[in-house]
Amino acid sequence: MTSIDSLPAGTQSLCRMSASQKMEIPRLPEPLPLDDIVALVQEKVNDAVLNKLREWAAWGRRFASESRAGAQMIARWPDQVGSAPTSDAISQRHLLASAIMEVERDFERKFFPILWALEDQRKTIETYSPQIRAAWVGFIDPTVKAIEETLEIIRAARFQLQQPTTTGGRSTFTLTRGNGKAGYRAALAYKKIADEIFDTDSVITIEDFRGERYFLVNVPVADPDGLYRDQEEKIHYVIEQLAPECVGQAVLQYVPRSGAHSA
Amino acid sequence: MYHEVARTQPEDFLRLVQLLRSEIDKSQGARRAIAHACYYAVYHLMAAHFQIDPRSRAGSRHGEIKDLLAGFRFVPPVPRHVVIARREYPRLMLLRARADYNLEEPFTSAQANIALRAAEEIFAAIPGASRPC
Repeated sequence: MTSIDSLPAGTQSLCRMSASQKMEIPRLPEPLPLDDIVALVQEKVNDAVLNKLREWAAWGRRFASESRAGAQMIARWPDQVGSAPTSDAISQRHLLASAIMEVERDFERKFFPILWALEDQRKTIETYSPQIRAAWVGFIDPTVKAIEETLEIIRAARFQLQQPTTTGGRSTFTLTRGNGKAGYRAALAYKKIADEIFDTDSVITIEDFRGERYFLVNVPVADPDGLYRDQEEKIHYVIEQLAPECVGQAVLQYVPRSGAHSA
Repeated sequence: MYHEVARTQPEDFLRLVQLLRSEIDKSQGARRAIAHACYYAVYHLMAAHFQIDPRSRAGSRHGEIKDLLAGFRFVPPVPRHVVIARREYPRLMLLRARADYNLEEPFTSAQANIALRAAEEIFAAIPGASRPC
């Protein structure tokens, strides 16, 4: 556990709220130094390198279990706040979701560079001897898996808090490992670009309709009945250039700028 | 008496939409029919592109066409109308589902116009296309 002062702003308020909710903020593990990882792959194979890799593999396994345990603690948060559509419960869910997002961003900042570096190393180590390759894989695999799984658990918790309590008679959405990741990433990508182009703050919602799941980016505009052809062209173009895997996985829809939207 | 008729083309759905266009602001039924026909025009166009037989259930479900489009990569380059269909397919699919099944909520002119614009853009981007009228 950690002190309130060392936490990001959102998580500090969470901690204050958590006194009554009995929520604990987990301390997620710190990454290995990226430079050391990159340097080691360049080194000549010798016993020292192998020992270092074995040591890191052990770290990777520890990291997997600690970070998963921390994430699972966060995963319990949504169950501890009410799901009623009252203003208190809504503001608590909002606060929790913001806090989780900060934890998520912090984790991404620390671990994404490691994740990318490790995935890059996979190509390099293909040329190594079976022994050294196995030692590298013994480190890379558990570490990559742990980073991905930890993030999935954290995101699923945030997702759960961001769901509307009712969806106008439609069935409610349940996030599973398989269904949300790509769609939510796409929705985030669309939101980011749409927010810039429309100079606004859009809201992501999920609609489950007749067995299909739609990730909606609700863009507040002055005239929700308008056709925003030029803006959409720009948004799609940027997504196609920057994140082509996200195209066609989120739906833009327009909502009145000042009022609540209707999905 | 038997009359030989030409095979129905995806564009035929869009022709129906053109007939209904003037009714958009007047009729809820017309708006829903427009979203429905726009979707199916694009669905059949994409099924043909992917060489999928819509009569066979395997591989031709709506979600599967959506997933095929979402999984597309631009190497080698794909035709412009497929690029636009990839962008618009989920929205057309959602609008069609709302139009056909969600009678509890009004289906607005704006929704019908979005479906219409998307389908028209897709068909207009087909190489050598002439607008259906």
